[in-house]
Amino acid sequence: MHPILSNKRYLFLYLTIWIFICLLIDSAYAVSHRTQLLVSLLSDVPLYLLYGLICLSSYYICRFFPLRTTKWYILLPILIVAAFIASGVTLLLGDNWIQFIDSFNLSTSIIKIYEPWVLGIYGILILVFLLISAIHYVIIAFEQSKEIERRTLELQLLAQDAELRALRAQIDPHFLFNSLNSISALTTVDPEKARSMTILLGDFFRKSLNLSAQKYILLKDELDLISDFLTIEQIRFGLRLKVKLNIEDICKKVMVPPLILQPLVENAVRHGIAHLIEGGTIEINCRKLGNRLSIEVKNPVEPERPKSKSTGLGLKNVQLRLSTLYANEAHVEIESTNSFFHIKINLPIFEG
Amino acid sequence: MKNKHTLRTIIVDDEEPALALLREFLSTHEEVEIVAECRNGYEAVKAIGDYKPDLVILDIQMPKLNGFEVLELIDHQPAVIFATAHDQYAIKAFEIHAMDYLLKPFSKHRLDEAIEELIENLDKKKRIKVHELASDARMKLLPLERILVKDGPAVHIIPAEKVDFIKAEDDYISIRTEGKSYLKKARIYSLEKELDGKTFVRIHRSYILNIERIAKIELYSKDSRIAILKDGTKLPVSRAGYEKLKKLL
Repeated sequence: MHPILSNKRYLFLYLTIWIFICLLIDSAYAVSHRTQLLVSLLSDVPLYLLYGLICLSSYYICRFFPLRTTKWYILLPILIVAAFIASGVTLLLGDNWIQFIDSFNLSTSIIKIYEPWVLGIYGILILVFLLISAIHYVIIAFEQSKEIERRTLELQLLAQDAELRALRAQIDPHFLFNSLNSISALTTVDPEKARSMTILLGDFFRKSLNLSAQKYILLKDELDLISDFLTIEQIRFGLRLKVKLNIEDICKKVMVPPLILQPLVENAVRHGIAHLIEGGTIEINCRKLGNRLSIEVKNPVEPERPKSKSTGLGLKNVQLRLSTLYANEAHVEIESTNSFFHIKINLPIFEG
Repeated sequence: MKNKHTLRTIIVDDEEPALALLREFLSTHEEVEIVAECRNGYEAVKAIGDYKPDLVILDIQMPKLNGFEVLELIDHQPAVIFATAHDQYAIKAFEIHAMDYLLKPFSKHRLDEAIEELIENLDKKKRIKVHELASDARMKLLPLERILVKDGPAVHIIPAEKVDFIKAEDDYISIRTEGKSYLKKARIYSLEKELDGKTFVRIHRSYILNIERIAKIELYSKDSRIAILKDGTKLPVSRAGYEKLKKLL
């Protein structure tokens, strides 16, 4: 696509410049030779515009012969020949047009004014054509640098996306190994339970794969995944792990990024319940507050366990993903005391 | 089997299915007698003290005390087989010390192998020093976040930030925290190395001080000073100790 022809504003600006030049030259001539300005404008403006449009065609020559790969001794003759043809055609058409205007006898013959200058005009037209070709080369270079910039940006976005995908797929391998160990134990003690645990584990991994492939999912789907996860963990931990869900129905239809809640619940089990001899209750609350979604996970912790200095990898990933997806619109608040860990996430709700 | 030695065994895991599995796998071993089952580190320390078993099959990740901490706290030295799900560091430690371990989920065959090898080693009197392994494991988790003190059957867990100061007393150290003192069999220089150097300073041959407890430091004689703590306690500060303090304060 031609950068000037394809953009109405640029085209208007470009043709206005030509009209302005025409106005300038004709006025100067009208002052010095006392001719009628209106008549010379009537004959000249269409010709200036015509030549302006013809000069734009040099863009295609410039595209076809890029500066970097074309030798100057090939490029220069091509451009000069093109300039000769373009200005020659314009002069011929101009000659006919002016004679046509003259035939109305509106003023002194214009063709008489031009005749002595024809060769000079020819030369100027050729130079103008070459000048505009040079401008086209500048435009092409500019376009290319913009294109490179756009591609770099695109690549950056792609890399970021890949990184986010990788972050999503972090399910604690402990969970898998310990679950398999439980299954191994249950096969003789309670085969029925062993079977249901295998199925739950399969469901859990299938769901987490499906969910992580999407950019946004229904909160309901994430909650289903968590329910599988907690059911499996309850087989491992027995009565030590209790769960209290408090989910507003309206929240279930809200779209959220996948695997945001899962790592938090996983942490609640791994860093909370797993360290308590008597276990405890994990509370999960989801509420809609106006056009925002509030998600909370609260779990008891062992008071004698020193608070880990680094926030867990899972939590860090969640924070990183939320800030990438929502910029400053997502809030994560952590309340960590001697006896419990409470994380609150507040997200804007996207319509549709 | 030639050897009719009975292995008195304690199994430790906080997950009921994991215990059930060990129970089941071990039931075919006539030479193994399960004397106790424990569901956390506290229980394990107490049971090992009470029963003095020949073998402990020990989970690593447990409430209160992890497997390594259990080993640190016991006086009796049983043979140990670790069972863990996934712990890169622990595995490295086991390999360095030629310690046998089971990776969950493990087969009965794998457990049988471990026990057979163990019995052979018992014959050769080639025992693995579990204390060494435990202290090695601890070194990797530095700086020390909590100090474990065994007090008869009870275990005290003292978070490092609650320690005021530590005093060397012959083979023991006395740990001062929240108005109480606890005695632990340890060397003051090893604690100096293990505690966080940004908070704990060896101010004297016999003292490690938590610098957050300092109220002021006064000149005592030409070469020595005394640190006055917020609770009024006065501790001697050597010349070298003062240099270290100056860098931190």
